[in-house]
Amino acid sequence: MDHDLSRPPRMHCARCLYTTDHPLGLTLDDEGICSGCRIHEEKDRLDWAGRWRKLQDLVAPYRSKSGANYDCIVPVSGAGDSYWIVHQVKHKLGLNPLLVSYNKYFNTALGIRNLANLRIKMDCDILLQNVNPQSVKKITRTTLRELGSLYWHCLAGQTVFPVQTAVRYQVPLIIWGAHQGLEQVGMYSHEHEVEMSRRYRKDHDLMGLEADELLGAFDTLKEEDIWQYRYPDDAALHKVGVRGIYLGNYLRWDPKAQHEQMIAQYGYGTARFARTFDCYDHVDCWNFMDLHDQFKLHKQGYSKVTDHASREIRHGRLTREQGAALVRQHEQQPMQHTAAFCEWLGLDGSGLNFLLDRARSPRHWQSESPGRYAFTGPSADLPASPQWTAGDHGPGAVFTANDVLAHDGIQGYVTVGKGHP
Amino acid sequence: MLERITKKGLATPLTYQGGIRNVADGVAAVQAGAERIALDSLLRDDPQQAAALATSLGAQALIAALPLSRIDGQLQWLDHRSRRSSTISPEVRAVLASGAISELLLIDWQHEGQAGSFDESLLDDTALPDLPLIVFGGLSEAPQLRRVLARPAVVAAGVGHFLTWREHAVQQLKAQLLGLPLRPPTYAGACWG
Repeated sequence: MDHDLSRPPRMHCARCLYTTDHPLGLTLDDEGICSGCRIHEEKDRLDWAGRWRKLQDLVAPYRSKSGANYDCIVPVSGAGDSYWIVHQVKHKLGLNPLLVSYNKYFNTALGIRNLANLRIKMDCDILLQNVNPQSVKKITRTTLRELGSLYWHCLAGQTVFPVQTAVRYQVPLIIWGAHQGLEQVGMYSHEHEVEMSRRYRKDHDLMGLEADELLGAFDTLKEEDIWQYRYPDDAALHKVGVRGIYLGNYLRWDPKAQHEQMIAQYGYGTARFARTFDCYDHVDCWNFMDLHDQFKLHKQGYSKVTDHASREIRHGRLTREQGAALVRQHEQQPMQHTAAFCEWLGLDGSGLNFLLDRARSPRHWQSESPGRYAFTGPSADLPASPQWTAGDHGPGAVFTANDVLAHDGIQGYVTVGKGHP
Repeated sequence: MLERITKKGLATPLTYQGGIRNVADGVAAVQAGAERIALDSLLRDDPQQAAALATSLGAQALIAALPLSRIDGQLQWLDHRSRRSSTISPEVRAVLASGAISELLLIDWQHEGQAGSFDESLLDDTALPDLPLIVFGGLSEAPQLRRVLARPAVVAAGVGHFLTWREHAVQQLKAQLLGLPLRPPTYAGACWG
C-alpha cells in the first residue's frame, strides 16, 4: 500500500473535486484546472459524427465473413455501462458480439437480473467465467493483506477473461466502454484513440501486481489458485491480433444520460446507495459501493461519490458547491453489508477492522488515539456550505432508483442465478 | 528514485535528468546507477560547471537536453522555470563546441504529445549546435521517424507517450521501420494457454 508522505502537498482542481493526490495521476494547469477537466472539454468540441464514422471503418475488417464466428467480444456485467456498450455494438454498429462476464461472487440479485435481462433483450450469446470460489477467497485474503483490496480478483478477472476468450475463440476485437484514465484524469486525449494494454492493466487495474506476483513463500496461495488470472503472452496476442478498443474515444460518453436511455429502452434496474447519489453504477455488487468504497476512502482519501460528483460537475449538471455538499453528505456514511463479506470470507469483524485501519493512509487520516482517526482527506479542505439543504440538489444529482439491490427480496451473495424473469 | 530503479537490475542503459546543480550532483547520479546524465538548467546557469563534469565523468556521459523551438525565424531555447525562450548564449555554445558534451537531445517541446508533429525544420536551422542529435517530441509515426533517422546528424530518436497507447506499440513501430539498423520486433511467449 502506498503511504508515501513525501509527495508534494495536494492541490485542488478549481473546477471539479479531484486533487493532485488522485492515484491515476493528475496535473493542474496555469488556471488551476485539472487535466481530467481539460480533456473533458473535448467532449464539446470534437466532431463526434466524424469519430463515429472512424469507428465504423475501424471495426469493418473484423466482421466475420463466413458468419461462423463472432465479430467481437464485449465484456459485460449486471451493471456499469454494459447495456449501453452492447446496444451500440449490436444495434448501431451492426456487429455480432460474444458477451463475456466474470463472476465476482459478490453478486446482488439485481445484478444477476440485469445480466439475464441484457442477454435476453439484446439476444446475444454469453460466456460466464466462474473461478473456483476457494481460490477466489484465498486470493482475496492475500490482496486484502497486501493491497488493502477485496476487489483485485474482480478487476483482474474482468480485464483478463475477455482477452483470454479473444485468444481461445480467435476473435481479435474486444470492445470496452470508456477508458478510466481518460475519463477521470485526462491521461489521454480522445484523439489518441488509446487501446487496451497489458501495461495499463497491471499498473492501474491490478494496482501493480500481476497474478504471479501474488505468490510468496509465506502465503498459502499457490499457482493453481492464480493461473486463471494470467494475461495471455505476447506471442498468443500477436498471433490472433488481439486489440481492445474503447467506445468512449468515438462516442460522446455521458454515463447518466446513457443509463437513463437504457432504463427506458431495456428496463435496466437501478438502486439507491448510502455512500453516493448515483443509483446507476455498480448495482451488481454488494461490496463496490460499500466495503470496497470504504477501503478506497482509507487508502486514497476520497470515495466513489467524489468520482460521481466530479463527473457531474464536468457535464455541467452540478456546481462545484453542490458536488462538494453531496460528497460531504455521502462520503462517511456507514457501511451496511460487511457482515455478508465476513461470512463469505470466514473473517470476523475485528479482523476486518484491523485490515481497514491498516489501509488508512497517514496522508488522509490522523491517528488521535488507538482506534480513533481524524479524517484529513481532500474533502476536509473544502469550505463548509451551511446554507446547503437537500433541496439544493442540481439536476446532476437526480438519479432514479427503480429497484433495490435485493431484487425479489433475495439478500446475500447470489453465486449463480438465472435472474430473469 | 534512481537507486530504486537501478535496483531492479534493468538491462537498458539509463540516462538521468533533473536537479543536477554541480559536479557532485552529476557524479552522485552516475554512482546511483545512471550511465549518462542529461543537462539543461546547469548549462544555462553555470556552463563551466557543466564543462567540468566532463573532467569527472567523460564527455560520453553527458548529453545536452535542450527544449528548442523556432520563434520569429530564430532558434530559441526554452527555460522551463521562467517559461521564456531565448537564443543559446555564446558561452553555452562554446561549451557545446568544446567536446565536453557528447550529444544533443533536441526536444521539440511545442509538439510533445502530439502525434506525428515533430518540426523537422528545427533540424535545418543553421544555429543548431554541431553535435550528434537525438531527436524527441511529437515523433510517433514511422514515415517521419524514417525521414529524421535518415539525416546524417541524427543518431537516435526518442518516442515516449505514444508507446503506451496500444498493445505491442513498440513492435508495431519496429515492424514499420524494417531496414533501419534496429533490432526486429519480438513477441515474448509462448507460455500461455
